[in-house]
Amino acid sequence: MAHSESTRPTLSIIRKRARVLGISIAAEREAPVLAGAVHLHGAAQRLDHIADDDEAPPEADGR
Amino acid sequence: MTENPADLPIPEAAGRLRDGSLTSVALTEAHLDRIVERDGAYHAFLHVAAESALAAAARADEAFERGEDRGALHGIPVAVKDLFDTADMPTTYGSDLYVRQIPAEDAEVVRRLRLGGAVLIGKLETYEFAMVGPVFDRSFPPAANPWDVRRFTGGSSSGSAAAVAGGLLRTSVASDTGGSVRSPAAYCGAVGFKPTRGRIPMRGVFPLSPSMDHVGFVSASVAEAAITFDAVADPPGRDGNPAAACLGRPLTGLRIGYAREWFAGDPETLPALLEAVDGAASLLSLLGARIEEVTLPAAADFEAVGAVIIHAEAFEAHRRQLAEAGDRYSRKVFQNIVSGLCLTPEDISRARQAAARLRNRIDRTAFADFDAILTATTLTPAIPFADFTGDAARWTPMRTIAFNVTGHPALSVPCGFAGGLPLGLQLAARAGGEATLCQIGHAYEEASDFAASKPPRLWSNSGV
Repeated sequence: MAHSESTRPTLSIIRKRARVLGISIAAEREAPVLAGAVHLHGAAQRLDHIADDDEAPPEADGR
Repeated sequence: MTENPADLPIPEAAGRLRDGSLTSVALTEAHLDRIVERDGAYHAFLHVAAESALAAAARADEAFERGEDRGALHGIPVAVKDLFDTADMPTTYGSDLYVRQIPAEDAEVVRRLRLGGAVLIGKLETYEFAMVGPVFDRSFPPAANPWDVRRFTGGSSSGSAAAVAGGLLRTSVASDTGGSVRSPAAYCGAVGFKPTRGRIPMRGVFPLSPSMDHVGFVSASVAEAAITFDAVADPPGRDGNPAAACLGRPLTGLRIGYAREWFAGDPETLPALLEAVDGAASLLSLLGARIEEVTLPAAADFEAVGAVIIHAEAFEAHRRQLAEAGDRYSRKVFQNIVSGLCLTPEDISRARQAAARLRNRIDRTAFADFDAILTATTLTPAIPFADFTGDAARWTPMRTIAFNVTGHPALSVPCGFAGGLPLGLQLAARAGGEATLCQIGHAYEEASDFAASKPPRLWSNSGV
């Protein structure tokens, strides 16, 4: 299964995206927003590892 | 001592309304008195509609006198989470942005409550837009836990749990997107019931995450949760029964998979919680159910899927409003919603595919062999408000979001205490399995009696 690698959020990316959407983020709120975005990025990276039973690799058998 | 009608379980109150020994007006007055007496400490209600409730109660009594009977909630006081539109009451969605809003129409579930003769007594506090809490920078306070008013209730159905646990109401209508009915019920010693996704229309409920939002109930007992569900749900399908259909039936022959490893190995799990849920498994076995341990997909997988879907959908729901009025959100809610702005359409698509895979795995592994799953609701009792004063949202450990991801029905039932604070167990069943779920929960409740415990009398005018 292909694994999707998206870009890890940075303050620069968040500022740019917020500006495009017209959302103003006060300076003191940027760090918690970044922390939340990084957490969600980690969650998104985990998604491809969630396989259906039919797709799961067989148990390792030592061969 | 004369029994206060506000303490009557709904089936008993309903019987007395029908035999003429109680009127809906007297019952409603008893609940309104309770609210006046206690809610200064709990802050469960954002709006109390005393006048319209008494008028509705009078109409309910008149209907009984004419021989009309609209169903199990006819004449019974009920309140709804303030995420549901009500055409005759303010609807804030828990936000300062909407403090003056009175919607044009009732939410569909509110319409059904009124049609069934229920007495709408008011609107219950909710986390802001059902997103995150407790927060302390709105114009109204968060609801407090009746077992210790210095502690949070859990959320987002915070007012619903405080109202039921505090004896202000027997049942309430709320919503559950990641555990918002079940976790506050567990923290407050009430019953929290989230039916199968889609059994109750969400029209007129402010969306948090349309893929995962469910109407649910916080009630004083499993039977009252089942009755409330049956009063507002779409008719059961081919595979379903009314939730109250199997109450009182023995558990003999039912198979329950105990997802113990789902929480027992988590370092955040309180030992007393593990002991309580182990005890519940033993009691269910004594009641005739066959209990075996079951292995579910990792809890962290469900949490990852749920986090991506909720944050992506919440950001989309709020995007325009954040640009126009972001400064009127409370700080933590703003930060939490905006953190979803980096998620991509591909992330959302993959999360939805993963949700479908997890649902299939639960159906093919757990529910092929078992009628229900037993596990914990939250991993700890309620946490002090003082622990929520930092800049970032604090997530409390629980095992609820899995059944929002999969859509299976789930029920939280009180199962013990730790340090004088309630603990809850969680049961889940196949899609459409509300009757089985309530059968098991009711049998456990009757045999254990934890749900009948009352919080200490902290509500006197003691300055809390």
